[in-house]
Amino acid sequence: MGRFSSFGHHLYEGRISFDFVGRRKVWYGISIAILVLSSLAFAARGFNMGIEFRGGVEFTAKVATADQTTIDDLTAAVEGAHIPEAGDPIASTSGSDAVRVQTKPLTQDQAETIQKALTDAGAIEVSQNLIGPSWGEQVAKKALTGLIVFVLIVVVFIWIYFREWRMSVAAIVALAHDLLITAGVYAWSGFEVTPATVTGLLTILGYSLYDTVVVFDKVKENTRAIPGSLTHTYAEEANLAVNQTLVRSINTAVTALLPVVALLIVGTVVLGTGPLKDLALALAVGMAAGTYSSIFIATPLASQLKEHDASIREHTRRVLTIRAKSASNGSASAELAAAAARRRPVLSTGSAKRRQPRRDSRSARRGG
Amino acid sequence: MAAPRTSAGAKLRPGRTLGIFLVLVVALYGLLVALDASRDTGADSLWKPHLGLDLQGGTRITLAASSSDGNVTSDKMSQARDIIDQRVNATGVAEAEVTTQGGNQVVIEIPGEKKGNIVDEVGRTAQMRFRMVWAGGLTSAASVDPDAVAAATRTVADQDWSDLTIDQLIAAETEGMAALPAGYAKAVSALQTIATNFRCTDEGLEVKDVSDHPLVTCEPDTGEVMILSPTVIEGSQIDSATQAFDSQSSQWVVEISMKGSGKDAFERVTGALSPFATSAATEMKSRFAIVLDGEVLSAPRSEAHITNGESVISGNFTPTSAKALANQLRYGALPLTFSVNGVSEEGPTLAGSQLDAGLIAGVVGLSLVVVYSLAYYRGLGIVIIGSLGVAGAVAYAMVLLLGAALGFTLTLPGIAGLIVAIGITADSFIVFFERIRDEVRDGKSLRLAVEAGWARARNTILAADAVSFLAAMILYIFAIGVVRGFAFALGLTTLIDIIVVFLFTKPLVSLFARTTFFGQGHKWSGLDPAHLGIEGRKVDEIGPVRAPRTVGGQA
Repeated sequence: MGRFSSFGHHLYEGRISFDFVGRRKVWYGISIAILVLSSLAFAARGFNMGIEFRGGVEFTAKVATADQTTIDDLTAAVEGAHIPEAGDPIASTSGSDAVRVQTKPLTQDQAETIQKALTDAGAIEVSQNLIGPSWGEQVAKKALTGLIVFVLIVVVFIWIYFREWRMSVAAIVALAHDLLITAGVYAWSGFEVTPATVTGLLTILGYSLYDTVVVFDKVKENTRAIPGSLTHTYAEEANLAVNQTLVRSINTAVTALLPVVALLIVGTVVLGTGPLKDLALALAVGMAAGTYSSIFIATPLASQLKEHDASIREHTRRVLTIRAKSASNGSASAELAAAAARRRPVLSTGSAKRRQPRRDSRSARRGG
Repeated sequence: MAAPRTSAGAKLRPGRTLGIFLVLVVALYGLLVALDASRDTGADSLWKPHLGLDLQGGTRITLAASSSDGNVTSDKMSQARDIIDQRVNATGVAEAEVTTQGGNQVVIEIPGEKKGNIVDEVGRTAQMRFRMVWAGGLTSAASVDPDAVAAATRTVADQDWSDLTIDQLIAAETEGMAALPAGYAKAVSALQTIATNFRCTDEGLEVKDVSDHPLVTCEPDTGEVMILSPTVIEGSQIDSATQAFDSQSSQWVVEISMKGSGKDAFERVTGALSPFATSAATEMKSRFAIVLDGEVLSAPRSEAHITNGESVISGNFTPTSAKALANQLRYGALPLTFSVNGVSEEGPTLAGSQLDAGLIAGVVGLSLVVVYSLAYYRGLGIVIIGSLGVAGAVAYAMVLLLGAALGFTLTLPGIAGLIVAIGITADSFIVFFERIRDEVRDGKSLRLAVEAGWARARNTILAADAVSFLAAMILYIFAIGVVRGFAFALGLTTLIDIIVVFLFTKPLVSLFARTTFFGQGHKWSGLDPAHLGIEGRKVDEIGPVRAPRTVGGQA
């Protein structure tokens, strides 16, 4: 851990630096590849929609021990109830002491007959969930409305907070990226999509943007000196910001993922397939993607958009010109560096302000 | 910049802020104690959160509304909610809770009981019909012969009633049921058998209301049993119905107006019936019945021949009952059509294991975060643990308080929301700590770094939490079903996070920075020079001006 910490120090100082912004084409490429794979999965496999989207009845029968024998017993009991709609039930264990049986849509009376049949076949307790065919669809539709409203509000919020529409765009692209990757994982793996999955996806909205905002805040702070300071380009400052918040990003991802993974494992082991597992799985995938995208996608994209800005382009050109000159002339380089250092205190930018008080307090202390 | 001034102010009195915060927390719990004490004995303890149906067992019925004109207004929804609430109560279920969600859903929650079978009763769109009163003034039966009723019911059901004209239906009232064609004699006597065996209750009257069949039913308020004709006017023919105060008779009335074919039928019915209303001896022959859901809502006399479809129903109405009747007439009882979205019956044992799983996941998740914080932040990890603990205590108190005040229930997704929030809450502390470390690396002494780091972290935390809270709020507004519990938990903890980090974590770190252990960067404090990667000075000393940094990522 100590090593990780001084690693953080080196990142902060810029002694170790990962080129997140400069190599953006690589990251874009990776992401595009993943997104293409995701899209292929939608096209080829589609989603494995849970019973909430198909409609039907789900019985959860509590039994002494859930194994293949009890599954067979209970399946036979359902078949033996002579209700045609309940033919070919899908049965699976759910945890160590419960069996889940799903049938096609039934009426309430039919469902009660099945419940009784299950109890007669040895189930200690039967829970029943009768789901209308449009339930899941309604949940998804509501979720979509929520998504649109949320995106609109957040675009405006980020725009106002950072006073930069490019950051809004980059954040939303990163968000779409996370949602698509999560959806892709679901399509590829064939995990069931339930309303709990939809909840998980909606939560990712919050988390993904939350994470992006933290990184952007550092970018904003680092680039405050531009265009006054000519030592670094916008892209370099943005990249430094990502590097400086890298340790935070990793720590946050770990602390956010730990409880979610606990939820996933406990949900799967204790309860088997159910809302906890669905929710936790969507969250785990989405949070991982969210952390990735705020580092590799959101900031490089925001930086790229910003570089198209005329004033930033001019600034970058000047920085590079000065650098080229200093490379060709050693003594000029020192002069320029000194000039840059001299210029700092009189700059009226945030960056300068930030450094000034420290000098004052130091001299004040020395004096005293 | 305002930041240095504020931070300087806060720096002076971290102890006071901390004290105020702790007093607030104690006050919160004091409020709970007071609330608990003021409760009736025998009521559920306030210290146990209200558990959702998925955690304690029970029935949840979700109905989705749609409207013929595609316009589901919140007004109509709340009317429908009230009506469904009445119906649920009428089935004898005591603790049911009926709420509207997500704009077009009505959710009925019945804790502890398996009551999925009431779904048809409460969810169907009630039918409002106008029928002739073929025989009225009968009394509720003392004893019932079920076999005779079953046989008679079959006879009535097998008879084809659709050939009767409206004039024949009216004649059967004014001239008696014997006036019906001879072929109906057997069915008429069967109706009489049913009527003599009919018991009137005001809870869940079990009658099958078929539009083109006669109906034996009663008016629950008066207990009067009646034999009613097949429908003469459907409720859908009512154009409008409003309550009004009639100043002449100084009583409340309901004005109704018919449209289309209803207008003609109403004219014929009132034309034929109104002459009988003039004398007390025959006034029973002037009545028609307004039937809702198989129950007689009102059986007024027809006092005038109404040709324009506009009439007034009078009776002993209060302003409220007049309004209720007007609403029922207008909307055919339910202003919206409902379809069953889901009926879930959760057994108590299975529900219990869901609760256990949620709690286990919470404990495991929290422990993992604690271990990680200690491993990475060492001494500062204690601040994270303390802050999470305080946030947990506040969250628990809020869940209890909201449960008592607003009936907030804790569901499995709600618990999941709280667990997920652990990570997001911990992140605020991480952002803060990383900023402190950055400031130390920049050359500040630890005590200065805490204040400067806070000034920067504060904005980041606020902005990031604002996004998180927005997400939770929108999720709550648009979500339906159990998703709302999740969104609520997430939103609540985001707010608590802000409060805790401002009023607890920050002052605590300020105080810690004054101690020798943290302030001088003890090896285990998480702030030692080696850990931070700074060389050649202690953390309580001012460092040299940072060397110009080298930056990667040259484009």
